[in-house]
Amino acid sequence: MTQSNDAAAADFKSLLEPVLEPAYRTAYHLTRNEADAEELVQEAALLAFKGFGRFKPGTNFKAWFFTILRNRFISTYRKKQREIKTVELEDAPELYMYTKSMELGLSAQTSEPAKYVIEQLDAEQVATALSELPMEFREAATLYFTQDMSYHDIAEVLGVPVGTVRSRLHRGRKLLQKKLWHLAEDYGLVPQPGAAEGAP
Amino acid sequence: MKKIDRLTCEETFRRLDDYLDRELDQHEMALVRKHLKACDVCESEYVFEDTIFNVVRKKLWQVPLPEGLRDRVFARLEEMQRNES
Repeated sequence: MTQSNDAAAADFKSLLEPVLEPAYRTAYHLTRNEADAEELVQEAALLAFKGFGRFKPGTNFKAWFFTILRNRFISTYRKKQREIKTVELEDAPELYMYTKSMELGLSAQTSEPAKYVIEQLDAEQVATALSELPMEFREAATLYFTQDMSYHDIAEVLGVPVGTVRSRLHRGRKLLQKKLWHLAEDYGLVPQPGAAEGAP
Repeated sequence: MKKIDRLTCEETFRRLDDYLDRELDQHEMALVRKHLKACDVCESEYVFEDTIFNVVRKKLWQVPLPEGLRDRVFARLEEMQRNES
C-alpha cells in the first residue's frame, strides 16, 4: 500500500463515517429488513471505496454515496422486493387527510387533527405505508422523508431531472396521505367510511 | 418586467410543496408567506400538511445504526485494502 493510497483510504473513511447512520436509515426503509439493510450499507461502502477515484473532491459525498447505495439496492434487493406487496393506489386527491379530517369534524375536536391521527400510528405502521407506495414514488419519498436532502440532491441520487423529483414527491406525498388514512381507518383511529358519525 | 406582488389562493396552493421544502426563491417564499398571513384557509392547509409530514419524518427517523456496524464496515474496508496491496 502506497502512502497516497493510505491517504485516499483515510479521506474515504472520514467522509464515510458521518453518512453511515443516515445511509442505514434509508437502507432499512428500502429493504424493510435489518439484515438486508446492514448488508446493503456494507456492499455500498465497499463499492464506493473501490470507485473512490471517480469521486470529485469538494462535491457532495453523501449524494455520491447514496447513488451507489440506491443502485446497489436496485440491482440486488429489488428482486426480493417483489415478494413485498406493493399496493397500487389510485391517484389521491389534493389535501387528502385535511379534507377527510374536516369531513369528520376532527378540527372541531382538536387543534391539531393531523397530529391526532398520525401520532397514534406507530413508526412501523408509517414505514409500512411508505414501503407500499409504487417504487418510483417510494424511492423519492424515502430519500425525502429519511434524509435532509434538497430536490437537487434527490435528483442526483435517482439520476432524474429535478422536475421529475418534484412531481414524484408531490404524487408520493398524496398517495402516502391516502395510505396513512386507510391505515388509521383499519386500526379504528378514525371511523370507517359509512360508520356512525363522529370522531373516536 | 414587473414582478408579481401577490398570489391568489390557487397560485399559493401550487407552490405549497415547494414552500414547505424551502425550494422556492426568496421572492416567491416571501409571496407565499404574505398570502398565508392574510388567508386563514390557506394557512390552515399549510399548517396541516407541514404537521403531517413532520410527524411522518420523525417516525421514520427512529432507526439507529446497529451496534458494531461502523466497525464491521471499517473492518471490511481494511480487509479490501490489504488484499489490494
